[in-house]
Amino acid sequence: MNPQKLLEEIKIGNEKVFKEFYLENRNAFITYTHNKYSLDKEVLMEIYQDAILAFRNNIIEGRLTVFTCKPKTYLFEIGIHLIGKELRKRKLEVRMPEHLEYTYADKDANVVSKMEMNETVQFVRDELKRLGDKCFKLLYAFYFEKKSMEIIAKEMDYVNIDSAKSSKYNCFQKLKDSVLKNFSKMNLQSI
Amino acid sequence: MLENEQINEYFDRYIRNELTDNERVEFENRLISDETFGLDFKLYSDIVMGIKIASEDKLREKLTEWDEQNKSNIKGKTVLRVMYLAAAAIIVLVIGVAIVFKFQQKQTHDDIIAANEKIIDKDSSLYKDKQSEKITEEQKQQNANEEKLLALNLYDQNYKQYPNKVFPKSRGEIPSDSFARAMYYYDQQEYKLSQELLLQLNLSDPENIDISYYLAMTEMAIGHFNNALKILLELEKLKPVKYYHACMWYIGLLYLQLEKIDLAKTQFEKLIESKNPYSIASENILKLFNK
Repeated sequence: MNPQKLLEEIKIGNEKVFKEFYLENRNAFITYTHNKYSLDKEVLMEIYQDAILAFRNNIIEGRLTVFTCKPKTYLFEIGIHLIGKELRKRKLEVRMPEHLEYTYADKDANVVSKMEMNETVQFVRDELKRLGDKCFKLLYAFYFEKKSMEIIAKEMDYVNIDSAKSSKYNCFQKLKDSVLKNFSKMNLQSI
Repeated sequence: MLENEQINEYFDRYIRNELTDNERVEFENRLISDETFGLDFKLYSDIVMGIKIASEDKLREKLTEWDEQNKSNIKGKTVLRVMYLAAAAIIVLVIGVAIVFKFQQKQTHDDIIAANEKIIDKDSSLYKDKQSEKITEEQKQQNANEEKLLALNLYDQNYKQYPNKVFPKSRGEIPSDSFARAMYYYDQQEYKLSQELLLQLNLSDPENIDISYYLAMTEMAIGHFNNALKILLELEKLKPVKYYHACMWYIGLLYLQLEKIDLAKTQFEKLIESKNPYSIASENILKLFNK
């Protein structure tokens, strides 16, 4: 598949294409990095998953709109960047000039689930499991897949866009109410 | 006063970049001036972050499922392959025994051995030739791939945001002047916003070297590597005192990113000819390539 097509398909949420790309490059990444960096295959597997999530996020969030290298190279680049972070975390020797030590940019390798999160965020993450499948799917599609309400309404069989919008608002509001029950608004300010 | 649902929609439009420039500025000003609005947005952002994290957890579960499915598919395929091979081996064995039996009827034992050895020698030398050709090709391909990965790794290690030297105090309130606002976003690492403003400024003032240079920096930061390269190559021709070595350095890095390794090496070689802030890093890069 040509790179631009791959990008477009992932952006519109084509799971089949995403799955193929994920499986296609997994073994090559693990083999290449296992030979080069002294990390266990299990750790590299997790890093590979982080890399593919960051890769996907960059497309969905619009940070990556065109490939200037092969998609595989871009994916590996993110993975190698994450390996650098992991090695630094373990305080192992990494060949890197001292003056660059603190400037190593995280620009394209962000995985939200690996970021530091405050109590509210943590609470919402757990609360979503109790919210029901339909609400979760709706919020997933809008906030994580960045799909339009028109597409969501169509895919999830809503009567019309307004009805989908109203369901989305109700689901969001349920989460908000739970948060406000557990944390007072003033306390939220300090979190 | 906006209803709750409308406020939610307003926030949605902001985080999805669906507001116009004016609406965005108004929104950001309100975040600073209206405390309640600011608190509501903070709560909204936390909830959205929670949703994104839970969604990512879900996707990660799915990736692990795919891995498991793939493993069992491979196991199934391997069992099938072993069965096919076993069946093929039995057939070959039966045919082989039949042929040998037939030959034994016509030839002496020594004739058969001589003929077989000849066939084995021929097959083995053909196999060796093919194998060595294959290994050389694979080796070449692997070397090329490793060099490309080294280039990308070096880009990653060496790329850093060029400091804002035109409006160094642009943190704090959002400036009204377009260039200052672009540099404010640049400092905030909101490169897309910065690039959009700089692009407009560049159209109205193409001779302004500061604007061109920082436009290239933002293009680079958002991954428009070819655009960045084009601007920097034009600037390099003008030899601007302020950015000359920086231009050369970022051109070198862009060549690394674009996997144009020979051009990158030439660029770094130029940089080590004289003492400048990038000569040591350039020398280190060249050393790694020559290893």
